[in-house]
Amino acid sequence: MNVPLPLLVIALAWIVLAVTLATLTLVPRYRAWRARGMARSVGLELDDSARPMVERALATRERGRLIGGTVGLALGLAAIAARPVHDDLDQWFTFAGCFIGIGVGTAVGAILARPRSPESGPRVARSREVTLGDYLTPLEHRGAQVLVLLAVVFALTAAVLVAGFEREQPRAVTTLVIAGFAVAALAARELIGRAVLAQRSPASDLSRLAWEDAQRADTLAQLTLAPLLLGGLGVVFAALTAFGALAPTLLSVVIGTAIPLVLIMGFIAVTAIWASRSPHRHFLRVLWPEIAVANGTMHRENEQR
Amino acid sequence: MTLLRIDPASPTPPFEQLRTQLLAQIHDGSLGPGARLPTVRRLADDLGLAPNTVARAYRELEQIGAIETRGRHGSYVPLSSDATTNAAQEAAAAFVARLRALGIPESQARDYLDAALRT
Repeated sequence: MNVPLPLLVIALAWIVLAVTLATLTLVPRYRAWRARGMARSVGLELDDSARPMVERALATRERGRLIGGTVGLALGLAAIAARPVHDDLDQWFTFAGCFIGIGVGTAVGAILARPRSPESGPRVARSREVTLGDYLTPLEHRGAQVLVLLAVVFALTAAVLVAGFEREQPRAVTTLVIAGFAVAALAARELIGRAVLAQRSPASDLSRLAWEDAQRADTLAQLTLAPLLLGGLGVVFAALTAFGALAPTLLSVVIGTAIPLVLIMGFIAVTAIWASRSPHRHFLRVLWPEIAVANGTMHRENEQR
Repeated sequence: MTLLRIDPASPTPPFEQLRTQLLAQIHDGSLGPGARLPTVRRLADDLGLAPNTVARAYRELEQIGAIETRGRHGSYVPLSSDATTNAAQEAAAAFVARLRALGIPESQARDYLDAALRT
């Protein structure tokens, strides 16, 4: 088997963590603690009418996330083991598989945790069709598409540029595979994301409907993590591949190192700005502006502008 | 806010509750031109109504031009919709229908309308 030992150790640690957390989701106190944490994070009150639904849905999604991550990790390891020739970047296949698995697993968990219909009494619903943009910030929604497109273009360009350099071929293949993973992750986000949006949300009051939206927003954010990260990685790897082959001189090595560094720093800067705008409350600002104003989410965002 | 609330215990039939709430949202602009409405099945599922009930409300809104259905693409608030005119025409039609049901002659109905306009 051609899988490096450190990767096997990481995989084993993940499996131990996944089994532990999955077991914890069966413990009522842990479920209540997770639900309270989410309430603080999204800025919604967790009242008695919504609590059982939120705790159940959170536990199901968390188990889906852990199972999906484990399956993705295993597939990533299998992809590495199946390669005849290796390079030092192909260990990222494992993380790529894990990221995609986490997103898909969370979404499958969300779809399986179908909300129960209230038995009687009034019902509330939204009068317009919701879209991905209602739950994801523009950076998540469009940024993932742009990054994946860039990753594909960069990977193809790098593959063409290093076509004559035999030593760089395994790395060019790695870059193309990572770009392929990014495309698969984006396709999963678009297709499974639409299935999540199409899920019915029977609610007897506004609190339950708002919580349905919060769960949906979190699921879609998890699905978007993989295309964002893999798109970014694809761009960096393609730059490394191209400069590794075409820049054997010292100056070129410096440039070859600087470009990925600038890209990584840019990625971190954009992520920091995005995180400071409380993206997990984006759905509140779009779909529940009254709550967003009441709990200060909207006000805080306006101040930052 | 673009929310609907249907109360099965209300004396107003569910289709009428749905129709009037949608019309009010189109009228006040919460459902702006181009807004896409949920599918009949989805809304029926969410509100616990029969699909025929939602379909009837949509059909009546379509008849007064408040929404339009573009085949499999779903139902939308028309881009060129004049929701105020549509709502006014609908209110007038409802007024006439109610007075006819009460057996009020046309001249007397006009008197009532004039009196109401003066208040």
